[in-house]
Amino acid sequence: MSENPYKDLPPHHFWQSGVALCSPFNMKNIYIKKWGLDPAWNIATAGSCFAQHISRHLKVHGCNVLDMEPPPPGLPESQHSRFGYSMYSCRYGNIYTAPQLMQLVKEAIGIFNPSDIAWMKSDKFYDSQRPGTEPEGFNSIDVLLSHRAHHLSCVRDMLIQMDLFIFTLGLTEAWVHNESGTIYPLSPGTIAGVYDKNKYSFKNFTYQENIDAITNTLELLNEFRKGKQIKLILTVSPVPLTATASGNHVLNATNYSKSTLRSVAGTLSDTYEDIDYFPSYEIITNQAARGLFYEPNLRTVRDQGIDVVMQTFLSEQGLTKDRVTEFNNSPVASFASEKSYIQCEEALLEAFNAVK
Amino acid sequence: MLLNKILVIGASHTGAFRQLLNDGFEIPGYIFDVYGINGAAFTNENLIKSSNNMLELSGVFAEGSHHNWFHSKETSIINLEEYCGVFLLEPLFIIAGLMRQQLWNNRKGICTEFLSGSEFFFPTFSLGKFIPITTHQWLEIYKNWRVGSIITMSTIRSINKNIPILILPTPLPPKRLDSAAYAYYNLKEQAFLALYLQNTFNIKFILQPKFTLNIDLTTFDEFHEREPDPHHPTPKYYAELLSKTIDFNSLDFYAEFKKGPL
Repeated sequence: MSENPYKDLPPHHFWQSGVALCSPFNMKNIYIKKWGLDPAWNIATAGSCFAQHISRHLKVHGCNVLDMEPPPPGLPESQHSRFGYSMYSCRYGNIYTAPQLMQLVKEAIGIFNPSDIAWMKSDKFYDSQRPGTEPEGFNSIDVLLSHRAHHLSCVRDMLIQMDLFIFTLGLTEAWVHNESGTIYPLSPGTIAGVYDKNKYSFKNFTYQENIDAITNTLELLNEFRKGKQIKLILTVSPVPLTATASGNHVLNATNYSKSTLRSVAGTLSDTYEDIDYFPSYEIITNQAARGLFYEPNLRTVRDQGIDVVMQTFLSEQGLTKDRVTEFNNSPVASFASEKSYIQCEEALLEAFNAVK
Repeated sequence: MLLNKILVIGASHTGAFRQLLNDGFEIPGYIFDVYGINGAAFTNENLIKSSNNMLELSGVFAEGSHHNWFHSKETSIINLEEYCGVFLLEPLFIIAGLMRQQLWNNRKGICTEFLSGSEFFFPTFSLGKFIPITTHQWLEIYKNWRVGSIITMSTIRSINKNIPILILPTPLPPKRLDSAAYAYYNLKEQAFLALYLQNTFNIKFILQPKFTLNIDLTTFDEFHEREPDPHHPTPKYYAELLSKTIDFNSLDFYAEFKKGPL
């Protein structure tokens, strides 16, 4: 056989041996860590709803996942996720886009004020930056603002303390305030607020805007943390869009969004030593799985799929079962291992669509 | 003469109520059957249940100890049909345990709405650093913590939808038990909770009457016990409530007391 660049490559570089003939439950070499994760690191998590799974599994495996805004004493565990507690390292709810993450960091460090922070429904007020975290709303704007001030102080503490930030990129689509450019996680008019097309616009963030959002966020953090290094793991959510306002078919819009985010994560991981990419998206959408990892709605990821994703990550990172056993005997294990309902406000869009 | 019977049920406050009866206090035409258990027992959902349309009381383990019911009758099975009304002495008793110690004292869960307007009484008071919670979170915490209180009311209502249930107000903390601002906060907590209970279980309530309160909203010494239980009312407190605030003909509180003390 003549020489060619593919001749000596290992099996996982070929579709037939790497995918078609490989169990989707055990994809060899799909993730090769760039650096090891020290479980003692302060780990912060954020992102789209899929990121909640990562946070929960890391806690179960004894990682030091920060919870800077824990639930108040006595609030039953069954209510934690309903009020946005214990989902991520702070109570910011789902952050679907990288530009929204940058906006939150700017607000936390005091260089940005979001417009229209209070959305109304009936006589209640909702925090437009995290409308799902207080399901019954606030009784007044003053109360909303005092809660937001507390939340931002928790975010600031998290930004200072974290050693590793795990962010799951969810969407490229968002809604913005025309005058100020404020980005919202959801369209006004879904959970609360009033949609006014003269006031708000649909925005589909481009590849470059997503790249800029992440790099600007890291620059802001570098300055805020006085040069203290931070590592970042990026993942892309395999959860398809519930709906799109782009004018395109939702399948096209989903693929546009996910491929853009995958490219963003790949570019950043290739460019920066401190940024790693973990392929949860590829593991779940793997053709060899033939959709097995999705629930019948073809959107929600099954527990089986989550387990494969996390097993891939944890085994590569050397977070062995011994650590799980050790952790399961600890007093916090019962809390962390409780499988809480995964909050996904996007699903509300589906509910709204259903009643048409 | 046929006497109307009223069922009195609640936490350790029932001790003061029973003492009042032992001392010979009477409301003409009425007798009272008193059932009481340590307030901690109301954190357990098994302290009361409905069985064959009767209330059945059980001792429970709660907050590290076993607690038994004390009652003025031989039986722990209560036939609600014998009674024309129920006095609850417990649900607004939220000065103890989790809600005072953890949420208020440790500032781990403060509803700033419950302090709204307190500047008039306590212009120099400052909460310092605290974690804010909403009234919705507060209510979820209460319902989870005092699950026995919720069960008590829902069980009574499952047997009889119409029997009048009156919640007799819990005395606010005396001055030396907590900061004075807590009295205001606690009063607002009680008001919020009582309104919820009224809407959910069709109960009647008033907050602690003004004539039992100091200007700083702490309870007059004659209406609360001495150390180590200053949060307990005296028999005299209940004597005043029964004599002045309740219309026994309609089994409701007089309208003038429904406005609250503020």
